[in-house]
Amino acid sequence: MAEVKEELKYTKDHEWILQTDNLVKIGISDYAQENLGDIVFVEMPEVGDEISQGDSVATIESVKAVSDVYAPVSGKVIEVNDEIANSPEIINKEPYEGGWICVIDTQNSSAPQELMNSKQYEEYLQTLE
Amino acid sequence: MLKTPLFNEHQKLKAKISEFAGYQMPIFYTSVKEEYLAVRNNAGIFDISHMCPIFIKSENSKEDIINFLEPVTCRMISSILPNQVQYNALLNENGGIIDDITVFYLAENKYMLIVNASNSSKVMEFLRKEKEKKQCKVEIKKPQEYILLAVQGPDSEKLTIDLLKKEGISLPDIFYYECFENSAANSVEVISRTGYTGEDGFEILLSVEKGLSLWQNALKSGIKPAGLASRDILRMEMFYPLYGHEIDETTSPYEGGIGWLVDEKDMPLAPVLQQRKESSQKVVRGFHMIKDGIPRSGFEVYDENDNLIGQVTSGAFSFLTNKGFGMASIKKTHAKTGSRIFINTRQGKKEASVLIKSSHKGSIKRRK
Repeated sequence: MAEVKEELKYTKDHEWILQTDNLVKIGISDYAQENLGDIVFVEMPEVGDEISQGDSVATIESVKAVSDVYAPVSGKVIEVNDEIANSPEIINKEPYEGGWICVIDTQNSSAPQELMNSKQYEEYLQTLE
Repeated sequence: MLKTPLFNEHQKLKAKISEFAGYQMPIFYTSVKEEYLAVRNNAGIFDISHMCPIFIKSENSKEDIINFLEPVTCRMISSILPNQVQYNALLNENGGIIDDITVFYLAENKYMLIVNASNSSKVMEFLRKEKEKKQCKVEIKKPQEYILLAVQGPDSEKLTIDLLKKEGISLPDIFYYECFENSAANSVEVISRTGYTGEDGFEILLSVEKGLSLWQNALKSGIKPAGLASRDILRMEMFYPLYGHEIDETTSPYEGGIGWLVDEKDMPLAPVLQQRKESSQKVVRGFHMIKDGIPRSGFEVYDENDNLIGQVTSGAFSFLTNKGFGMASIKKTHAKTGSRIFINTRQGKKEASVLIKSSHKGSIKRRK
């Protein structure tokens, strides 16, 4: 069973979000990394990129498949996880910790729409089994 | 959706299950990379029961079988020695590939074909019609129930001999593309030293009871269960074609990159194939990315002047080289080893180099 962290919010595309005021850290969920399999390359956004909600903010290539990470919020990329470029497998090992992808400044502190809390996400995962 | 007799075993192992050729198949168990490495370095076991054995027998002579198969294949059936296996292709009247198959010469007047899961119904129907049309005196039969397993990897030989012994089967000395049928058995028992990985290994056709027991004993003895994702990368690294990707009914063996199969002088379809060889513009070739970029099936291929020259048919990331690689159907002008091509990846056009033969040597054991 895929791990779900209580303190995070989730999208239907299996991104997770950690919001602190107007800053939003994003990554992909344990379920997502499990289904992708061994990740071998991640195309990262650049610091300063202006992103609209729903845009592809990163591309994750596993051995067999390729998957987009969609921005759950609009804003400006202010930090990216450089460790991923050298060791993309870190996303497989620690999807919620070392495997974070980037931080987006939303320029306002209101919570993004249509996100699931951990309980709702767990229920959502059960519908996918 | 169809299931193999080992479906419950895959579920017990918490395999990631997905649809393949109408079957619910294990894609990977723990990690594609671990399963891949097990096969390249030690041994792995695959459930390939979705693939379909078809027995072809004659009451009179093997000539009946040869005369039945040679007009619809590209390689001489009559040249297969007893207990030998041959890679071949079943062709339609235009020289298009109905399926790529292995042909086993099991015993006097008895052959077996192994066909792809996705094509098994089509092939059965084709063979039955062909038999009727030409009034061939052959019997075509699919076993009701069976398990087909592949033990692959450099350590396969000893492990397989031990596993078979537990099922009461003593394996004689066989080498690459040779087979053994235990004709004393009550149900199907065919073992061949074949595979789809480039490594030494065996494909084992057994009753459900024995197959299940062999699978469970294999896991106990430390052989890693391996899923279809690692199998796909293993075959791609050897540039082995997969039906529906490199080859289909619109491609001849020449266009599919398996022109070496064709016995050009002797086969009834040779004139048709010769015509297709001369008229074909494209051929399937392997390639390696020079630096970055991961090719995927369907990506466009360009030449150095930005002209579209083909399409990627299979692509992935190689654990041998830690780079992207794949196979592509490209114009013959760029089909030589070392030709420079450009793959339009998600990160833009990336340089690649054509390679006809895989550089991986593998652990295959040929008869000397």
